[in-house]
Amino acid sequence: MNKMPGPNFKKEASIASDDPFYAGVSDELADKGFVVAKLDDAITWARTGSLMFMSFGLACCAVEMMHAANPRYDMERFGMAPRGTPRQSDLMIVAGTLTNKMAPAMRKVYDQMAEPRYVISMGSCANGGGYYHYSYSVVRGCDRIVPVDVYVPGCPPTAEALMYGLLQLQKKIRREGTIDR
Amino acid sequence: MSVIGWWKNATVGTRFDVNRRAIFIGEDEWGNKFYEEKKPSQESRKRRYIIYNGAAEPSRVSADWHGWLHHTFDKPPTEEPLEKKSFEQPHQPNLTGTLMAYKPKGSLARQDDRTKTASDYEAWDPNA
Repeated sequence: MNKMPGPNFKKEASIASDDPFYAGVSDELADKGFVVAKLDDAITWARTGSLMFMSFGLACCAVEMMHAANPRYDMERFGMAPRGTPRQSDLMIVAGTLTNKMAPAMRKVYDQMAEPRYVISMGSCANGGGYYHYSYSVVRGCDRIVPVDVYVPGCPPTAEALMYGLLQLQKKIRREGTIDR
Repeated sequence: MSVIGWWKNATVGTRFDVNRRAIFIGEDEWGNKFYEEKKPSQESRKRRYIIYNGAAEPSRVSADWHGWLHHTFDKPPTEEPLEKKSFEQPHQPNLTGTLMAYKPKGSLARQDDRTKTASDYEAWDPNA
């Protein structure tokens, strides 16, 4: 492989010792002996790190949701795993076309989830009916049935886009999460 | 500076690993730093990395560096800059969740006058 010339090599060798980060951590540990976190931060951190999701896969978006859960995008590294029951999940990913017939079932599933609960609307159909907007049998957006936190656009959104949506949800929880539920 | 809080900064592990296995390629206008592996570790090509300056926000990477990160371009923008078109706007990160978030005209979140078409009727009052 091509070796990089001199200047870069020098930089690389000195980078770890110069980094103020290492100095900062060792200073804090030497000074206090422990690391302090705000209770609020700790709680929102715990919530963002355990987003077990109810995989409400309704159509082709569900395939992309599976991709995001599988090793390539591996959402488990962010503490998210699919669950088969709403009672164990904190997050519902509505992936696909929500039909009128499915709507009461979805509301029931949402009501069974424990608080605090979050909803991600994935794909055009869940966002606003999408291709089936003018169909007589389709709900024009799942936000007519449940409150939605994050909308992921696309038809279907890529697994990467869903990951970004999930990270945006984590960001939202960190921003406005409260102890009170 | 964090051990587990990867969303605020790169963690110790990431920094250590990237410094050990990759070489520094360049820095963009926001201070994000870009690295490339010394030798391919997984695939036949060298993986490319970014250490964000501050919060990990992928939309804060401009088009030229994005292309390099995703192996669309062989050379980084420091060596081969993208041609800048006259109509190009400066790059903006995703502003969702900030005060600068985009609210389309007529949106209820916008708190300004409603459009003429929406304001010429009187809404039904259920208590009347």
